[in-house]
Amino acid sequence: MESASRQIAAFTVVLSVLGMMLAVQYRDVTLGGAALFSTMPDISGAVSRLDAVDAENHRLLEQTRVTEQKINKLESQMIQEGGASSQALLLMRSAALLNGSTNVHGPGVTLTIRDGHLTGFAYEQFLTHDWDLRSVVNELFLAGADAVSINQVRITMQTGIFCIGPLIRVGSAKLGPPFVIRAIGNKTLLTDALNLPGGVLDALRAANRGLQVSKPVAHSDVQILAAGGVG
Amino acid sequence: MRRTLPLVGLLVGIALGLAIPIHLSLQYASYLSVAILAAVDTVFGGIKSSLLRQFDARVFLTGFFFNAVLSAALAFVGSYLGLDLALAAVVAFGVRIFNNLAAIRHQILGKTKIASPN
Repeated sequence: MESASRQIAAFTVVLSVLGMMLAVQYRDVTLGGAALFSTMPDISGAVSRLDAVDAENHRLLEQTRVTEQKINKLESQMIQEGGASSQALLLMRSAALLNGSTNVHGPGVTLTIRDGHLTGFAYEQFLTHDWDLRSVVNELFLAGADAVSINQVRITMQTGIFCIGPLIRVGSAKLGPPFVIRAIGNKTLLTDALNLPGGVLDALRAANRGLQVSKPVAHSDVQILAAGGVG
Repeated sequence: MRRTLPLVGLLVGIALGLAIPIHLSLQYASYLSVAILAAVDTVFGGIKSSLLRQFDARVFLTGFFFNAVLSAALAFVGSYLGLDLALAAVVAFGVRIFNNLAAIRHQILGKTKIASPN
């Protein structure tokens, strides 16, 4: 009798735990996700693997950043020491400036463009368009800017600026307003170029657009990241 | 009356599982399904041994929890080795469940209808 009651107790414990496991699994399966994973168990590890790859990626990016800093330091040393290699390095640095492969900081200007408000008569025009940003960027480069970025996305020779729906794709980044344009170069020249009467900013401020375009602000130190955010 | 207690336990467990909002992260759902398979196997094993009058509560209880945890752990380790050990558990426990079921059927049939040929 003792054995029979022990048996019943054991079965009761086991079956109640099993019932609970079944219920939890049933609910997760009916929710949708778990069924997918139970038929494709390979995917179950994919999430953790993705996390691991992501972490490794971050580690490598950090390593790249540190190495590039070291290279920069050594290059600066070589340039100070002078000689033929310093000339080559200076050339290389100006090339790096063009292709956007290094972080840049220095005097420059910033400018913010925000979408306007729907006023009823200019319902298409109150959005910032790709050509608006392109005209500002082109104006800045024409005025001799060394580096330009929109919302910290570096504009290089190969960066396209296109509208995608309500957003603007700059390179591979999808940006929304406000668009903060940073430019490094002669700040007086850049400010004057932007403030040219009848120039790009005046066109953007036209009454039928309703965009909110800030005045270009000159700064003694503007930071612009390398293309891809590395460096 | 007391014989229905395990069934009541099962129902209570299901009700509890549905009532308490426990959610396993998607990546662990497959481990629970392997653990459930191990648990079901243990239950059928228990029924078989109780019919054969060889039931041992300690073996049954430890087997239940140990098998469930171990099979889930194996599947977990397998996912890190690029080896689908969950599949091994499904096959192994699947075969055992059917063996146990067959033994239970034979036992019940043997007792109620056919006299043992041996």
